[in-house]
Amino acid sequence: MNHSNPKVRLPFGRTLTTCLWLAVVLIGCKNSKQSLYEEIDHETPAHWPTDMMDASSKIQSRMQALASQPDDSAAEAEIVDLVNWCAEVAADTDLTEAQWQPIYEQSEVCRKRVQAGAAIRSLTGELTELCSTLEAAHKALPTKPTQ
Amino acid sequence: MEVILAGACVRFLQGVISAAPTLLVGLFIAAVLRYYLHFEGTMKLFGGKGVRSLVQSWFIGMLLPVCSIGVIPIIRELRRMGMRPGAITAFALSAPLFNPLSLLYGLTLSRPYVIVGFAFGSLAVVTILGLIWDRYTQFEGEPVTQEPTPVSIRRLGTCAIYMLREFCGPSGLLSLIAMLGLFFLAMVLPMGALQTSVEQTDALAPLKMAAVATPIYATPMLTMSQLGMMFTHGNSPGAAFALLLLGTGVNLATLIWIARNYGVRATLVWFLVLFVVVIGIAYAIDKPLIPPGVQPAGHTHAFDIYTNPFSSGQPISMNSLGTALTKSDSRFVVIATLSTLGVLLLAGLLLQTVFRKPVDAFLQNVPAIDTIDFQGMHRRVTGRTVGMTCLIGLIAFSIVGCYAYYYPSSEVLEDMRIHRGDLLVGASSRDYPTVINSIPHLERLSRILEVGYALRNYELRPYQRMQAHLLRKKLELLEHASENLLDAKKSGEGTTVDVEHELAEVDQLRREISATSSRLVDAFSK
Repeated sequence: MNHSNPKVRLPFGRTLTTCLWLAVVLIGCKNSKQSLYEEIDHETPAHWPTDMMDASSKIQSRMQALASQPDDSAAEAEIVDLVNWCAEVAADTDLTEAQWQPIYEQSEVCRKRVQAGAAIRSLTGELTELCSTLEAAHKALPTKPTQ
Repeated sequence: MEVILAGACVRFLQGVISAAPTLLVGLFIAAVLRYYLHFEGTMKLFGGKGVRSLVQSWFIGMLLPVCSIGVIPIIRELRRMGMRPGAITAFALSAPLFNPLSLLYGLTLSRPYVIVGFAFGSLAVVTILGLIWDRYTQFEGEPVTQEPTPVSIRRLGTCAIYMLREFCGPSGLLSLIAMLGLFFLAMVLPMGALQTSVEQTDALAPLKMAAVATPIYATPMLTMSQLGMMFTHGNSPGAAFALLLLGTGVNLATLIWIARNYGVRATLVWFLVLFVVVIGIAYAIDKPLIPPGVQPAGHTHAFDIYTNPFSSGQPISMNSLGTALTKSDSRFVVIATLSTLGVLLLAGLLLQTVFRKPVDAFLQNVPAIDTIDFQGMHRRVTGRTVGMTCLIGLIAFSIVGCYAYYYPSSEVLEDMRIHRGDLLVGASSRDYPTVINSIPHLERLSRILEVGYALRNYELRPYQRMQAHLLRKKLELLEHASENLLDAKKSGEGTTVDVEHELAEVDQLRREISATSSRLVDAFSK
């Protein structure tokens, strides 16, 4: 059985342009930094919170700093870090899943707004809510027996 | 010299053992294409002769469980059938990158969109490359002759003979050539030589990785676990992409096969375009994908598998060779795989020598289909129906394989309990080699736990992901502390390690791992 294969002509330029466009859209040229990693810090950053109360107090202190000095980019960056770390800090305690879930959800609300380009100063309500949730969860923790 | 050669032989054999299953799958698929789907069916499966064939070949490659060795018999068959070169290289490059098993594993390494983005990134690369390659080679279809094919049991026999002849012939030889890449790398690279080569701060990391990755042979699962280790160690994302495309997609045999079939000059152009596209994308993603605030570990063990397994001056004995060989695979797997390969090799050699004449007579004797009596269960169906059933069966088999590899949570948790026991006892008794040995098992099991749960429950809750992440984070920190303490022990008085601090950290992490594990069990037991 013979099968003759006709010469194939491709819309070369158009297809190549489409592919290059696809590659750029899928892989590169994004404005915001996206985390590729399962983020494991090998050295603990200085503003890593020791517990949920500490996380809340650090967020509040940075918010106050930002209120008095609106162009404090260091405070802004640290608030973003703290929001990203809240769920992890809370998960590393004796909170149950049901108690942890509101913290995760509130931190996701803040994280998504930041990712969408919202200014940190415009998130006062959401951040205050996050701090309240963290404090309430901390108070709900079972007290450990003294050693 | 003894260490260099012994190490190279170990890496060569480890490669053979890893490649064996997918080479057999590749031979089976090639036989199905040749004797069941024939020319028309194969062309239809791979998207015909148009641009669509590039995308369709990529998609078929993603579904089939083969690596860069397993694709060799398939691309040989596709070439014989006169498929367009761009589609052949699209399949050859994309099939080894992902398969259902490695894709699922990959989803636990990072946010799902990153791995899916990598998959579609590979589509962009193979399509660009295929278009340029087709244009350069001025592809024109040649007449294809379809040899007469027997049916029924005789066709199965013909397939088995074809597979054995390919195994002991061109495909087997090309597979061995691919393994030579591992052999030579282990000869050139001393133990641990790649531990600090791909740091995110190193501007040359993607280039270095591309240079090392080209001659290596890596299975999709191995690459996925290496990507995972690179992610957790804060290595260069561009280097990770170069490893995925060039390490998994290409090996020495692929290059030699392309050169033999399309000429050295055309192959150089193909490889140059591939290299430039991969390096270009690698550098494009390298800086944007480095996460803010993550501190790099300064080293990684992900690539130790490509360097010599023995340190300079280490005494070489049968015992040390056996230990090195069974480090990545169990003794049973090593013996079973090598025995199976030995039997197949012997059978293939017998077919080529002692039984050559009767086998040739069997192949030439193709009874007319009208002379066959079809009765009862022995029904007359088209070759394409049987062929498609085989391929769908293979995909179904790989889905079943996913469920077997990612086994139920209750059993994974039990296995984790055993390894955790070893780890915690090791940490308490300052037995750091045991600790370091237990950590990879627990990390792997934690990922199997996540995927296995998601496969069976169609969900993975954020709390579960977070607890698995926390466990891996603590294991990673414990590994570094244990390595530091081992280094301190080796260095003796002259050590720069703060031993007291590291000991305190080990004790702290031991308690934290215990607590996290308890939460992990709760999260996955519900």
